[in-house]
Amino acid sequence: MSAAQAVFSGWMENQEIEGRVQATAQSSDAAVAALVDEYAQTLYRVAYSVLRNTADTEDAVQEAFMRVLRHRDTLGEVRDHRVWLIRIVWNVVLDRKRRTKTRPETDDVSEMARVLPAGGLTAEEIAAAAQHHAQVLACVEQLPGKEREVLQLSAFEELSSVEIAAVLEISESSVRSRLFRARNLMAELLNHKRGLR
Amino acid sequence: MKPTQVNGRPEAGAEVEATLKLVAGLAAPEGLSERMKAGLRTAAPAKGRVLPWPAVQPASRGGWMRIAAAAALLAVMAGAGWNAYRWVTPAPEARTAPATVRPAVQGGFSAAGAMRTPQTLVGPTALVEATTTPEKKTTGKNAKRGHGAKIGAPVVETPRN
Repeated sequence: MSAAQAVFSGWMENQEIEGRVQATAQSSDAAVAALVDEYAQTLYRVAYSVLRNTADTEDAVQEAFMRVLRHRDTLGEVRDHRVWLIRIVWNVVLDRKRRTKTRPETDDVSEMARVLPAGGLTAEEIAAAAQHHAQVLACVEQLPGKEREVLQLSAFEELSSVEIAAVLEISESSVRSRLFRARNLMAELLNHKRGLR
Repeated sequence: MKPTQVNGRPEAGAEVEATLKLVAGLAAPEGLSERMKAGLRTAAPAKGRVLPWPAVQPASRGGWMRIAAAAALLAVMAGAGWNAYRWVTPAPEARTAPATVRPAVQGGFSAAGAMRTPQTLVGPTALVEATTTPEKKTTGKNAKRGHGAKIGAPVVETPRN
């Protein structure tokens, strides 16, 4: 083989390597895009249940997908993408909440009334319902962190106790016991509030 | 998860569940996925590019090229080093006489740093008697002129005949 032939064949091989790398990058980008299409709504709802602020929630979801993008080469190793993504967004949300200490929008009764479905209800009924929900959410905020997290995640019907345990990285029995405690505490808090009125 | 009875009051657990499910069930805003994708596109780091020929040539094919390049690089570096060695003149030696170094006296005493101290105590008296110088006898002529007379003594003038 002459030197020119060797150089040419080497150049061809490099073109193939580059093509393969680009194809892998494109496929991993496509995988991330597919995850966005599939789970963006779920992640938004999970994040909103804690932050209750539209702009902050979108930022948190974006940050979660940025973390996914950084690990796009290892996406194939993830067993359950849904639980994995919820865990990522959950950690992002908790970090943000710890850092910024933003006041949830739904602390305001008017904001709660805005997000409430107005299915055949009068304005007065909507206002009363909004006030009630705002009070319940204020009580939820008073719960200890561990109990509150489990209670908030339990509201998502698509998450089983096993999946909640996977998200919070605790055992399933811990999920159940924390949920039990959270509900008891919530009942006490609500009774106390009613007693004050 | 199913709503449960709390403290014997089913309504307490139910209303908490209802509120949390209401918040959890809120629909995401429209165009969320598109915004997320756009954000990822702009923030995505540039992918590493495979270096073109001949950096990643296999050793069997482009080995001679690499060796030649390495040899050329080595030659250039050696030439540059030799040039620098030739053209850089060494600094001339200083024309100064070296200071004489006094040899240190081994085991001797030195007066450096010594300090004179006045004697404040009465020292011992010498036992040797001080020698007295005998007084000169004054002759008659000298006596007349006052030589040999004690200082302060009155000079007596003798009348001449």
